[in-house]
Formats: sequence, structure tokens, C-alpha cells
Amino acid sequence: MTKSLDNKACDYAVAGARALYLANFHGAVDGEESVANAIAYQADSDGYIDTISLPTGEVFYRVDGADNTISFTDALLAGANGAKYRQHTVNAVLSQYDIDVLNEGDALSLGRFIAVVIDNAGRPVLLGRTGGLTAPAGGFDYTSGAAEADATGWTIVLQGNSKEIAPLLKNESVITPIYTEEVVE
Amino acid sequence: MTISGFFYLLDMASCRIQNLKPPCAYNVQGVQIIKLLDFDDFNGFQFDGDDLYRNCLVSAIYKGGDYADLEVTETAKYTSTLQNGLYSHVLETFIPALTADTLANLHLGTKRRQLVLFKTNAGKYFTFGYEAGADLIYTNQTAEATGSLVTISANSIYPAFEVKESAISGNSFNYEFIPDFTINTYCQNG
Repeated sequence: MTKSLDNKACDYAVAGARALYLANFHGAVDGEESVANAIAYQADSDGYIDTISLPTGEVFYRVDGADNTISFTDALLAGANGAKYRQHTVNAVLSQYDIDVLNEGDALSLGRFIAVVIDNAGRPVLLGRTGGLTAPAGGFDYTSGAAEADATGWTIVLQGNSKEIAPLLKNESVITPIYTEEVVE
Repeated sequence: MTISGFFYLLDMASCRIQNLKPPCAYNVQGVQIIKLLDFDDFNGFQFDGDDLYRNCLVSAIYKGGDYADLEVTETAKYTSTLQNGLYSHVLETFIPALTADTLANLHLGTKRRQLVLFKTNAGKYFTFGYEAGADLIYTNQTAEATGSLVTISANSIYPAFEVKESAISGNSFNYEFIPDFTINTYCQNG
């Protein structure tokens, strides 16, 4: 270690996350400039990521989960030969069963993504930068419930192994460009 | 001691392994990217510091064609074994499709020899098949996923070489090797 870890948070604290952004996974490179078939990340001197340059044509997609259903974990795992690695997991529940979800369902089931989760303290956390996140078995399941008060919706789980602790973004404006729907008049 | 004897001793002193203490880092298993280059399109490596293969690090790849990317599944893996001074390099992956396109390409792949490049999930590129390329074989299956199990293997006197990422970025980079003759030292007669 190189530093004492004092508790700087003399503040209210709430758990949970409020927003989730996904972008298609490409390999990670260092730098500010956009690169073909790779995502360029630039970190400032403190270690915050202050620029993410997606390849041309790629955007971040915002996923709005039902209330209090977005969460993430960053776990330390140990494999054979003493190999330690990390596993990033993102969870969310989509409450709607509509054509928009169905059209994106295959992508969420089969695709590989990077994710930015914004927790309830406003911290944007980047997950899956080095290897991407994919849906494991049970990673895009719908349950209708049986009784009136049962839980219903699509459960999204995206998971991937990583060789770094999920880094923080400088602020939310680093998440750009964000997909905007084109309205045809 | 003669001067040549002194240099011989120096060389002997450098011919020792160094400490093998890897950096304190996370260690993720698996393969992320596999690229194949037809061996006829491969014109050679430039090793780091213009050294020979002593440091096992390739800083440029001279080639005339494009890489072919191969699907990489979670089960893809690389192993190498050393027996009687000969390395056996084996890279396995699975193509989760059985189509005319994959069959035609895989069949052609078995008739050609390939230089193999792969990137591990730990983030580094490696290559094997330096002397004569690698063989590709495949088996088709419809149980436990439909597709083709592809095995690329080569016997070699060399270990796997690490490749700098800058040597691979883009298909046209390092396309052509042009010797620099602007400094006419190569034919000076004093």
C-alpha cells in the first residue's frame, strides 16, 4: 500500500444505482483519439477516466430499469495456480414487455458490452472495460408473475472477467455520445 | 587473458536467466482475439531492438496480405509443451456455426499454413508458427453446440513470441519494408 485510507465521506450515504449505460464492446486502448475497432480511454493524473472515444458510429445506450433494480458488483475471484482476477456484474430489471425490448432482446442476450453504472451518490463506474460483459445463463429472462402483486419483468444480468477494479469516470459528461431517437415528422 | 577471451567471459555472464518475478497484477484466463496470416503473405519479424529472437519480443510484422479473424469463444485456449527441445504450440477455439462459408474457409485453412497471432485476456499478443506456419484442423459437431472445433498447431524450435500491439494495429500498417539507403554507408570503401 502507498496511502492511508481515511473516511472522507462526512455526508449522507444512500446505496443503490440509478442509471445504466451500455455500449458495444471493443478492445481497450489508451489515448484520446478515436480508433477503428477499439475504444480509447484517457485517464487524468488522479486516475479518473476523463475521455472515452467510441469507434465511429458507436454510441452509449441508456437502459432505464424499474425503480431500485439497477445494481453492480465488482468481485475478487481466485482461480487455479493462484491466479486472482475480478468479475464485474451488472443487474437491472426492465418492467415493460413491448416491441422495443423485444427488438433489443437478442442484442442483450448475445452481445458483449461495456457498462457505465451511476450509483445513487452520483459516481459513474465503468465496468467490463478490459474484457466486456455478456449475459450468462439466466441473463435475459422474463417472468410474468402469477398473482397481482408478483414481481414481473425482464431480468438483465451482464457479467465478465476483468483484470482491473472498475474505474471511476471523471463525471457523467464523459458518457458521450448518447443515443438519441430520431423522430421522423 | 586475451581480449577475445574477455569478451567470451562477458558473453557467458550474460547467458543466464534473470529473476522471474511477474508484476503484481490480476491474472485473467482465456483468449480474446485470434488472427491468422497466410504463411505466403508473411515476410518476417523485426525483433525488439533489432535483436534476434533472444528477447522473444516482436516489434514489427512485415506482411503482404490481410489477417483473417477467427471467432473466439470462452473455451478458447493456448498451450505449449516442450519435449526433446521441440515446442508444440496448440491453440484451440470453437466456431459456433456450421455453414457453407465456415466449411469452405476451414477446408481451405487445412490446405494452407498460417502464422498465428492471438491476444490473451491478460492483454498481450503472442505469435507462433515462425519457421513454417501452423497447421489447421477441425472437427464438426452437432452435440454440445453446433459448429466446428478448430485446432491450430505447430512444432517449433522457438517459444511463443510476444508481439507489441503497435505491430498489429490496422491491416496496412507495416505493409511494406523499404530499406533506408539515404545514408550511403552500405557501399563506402573508405
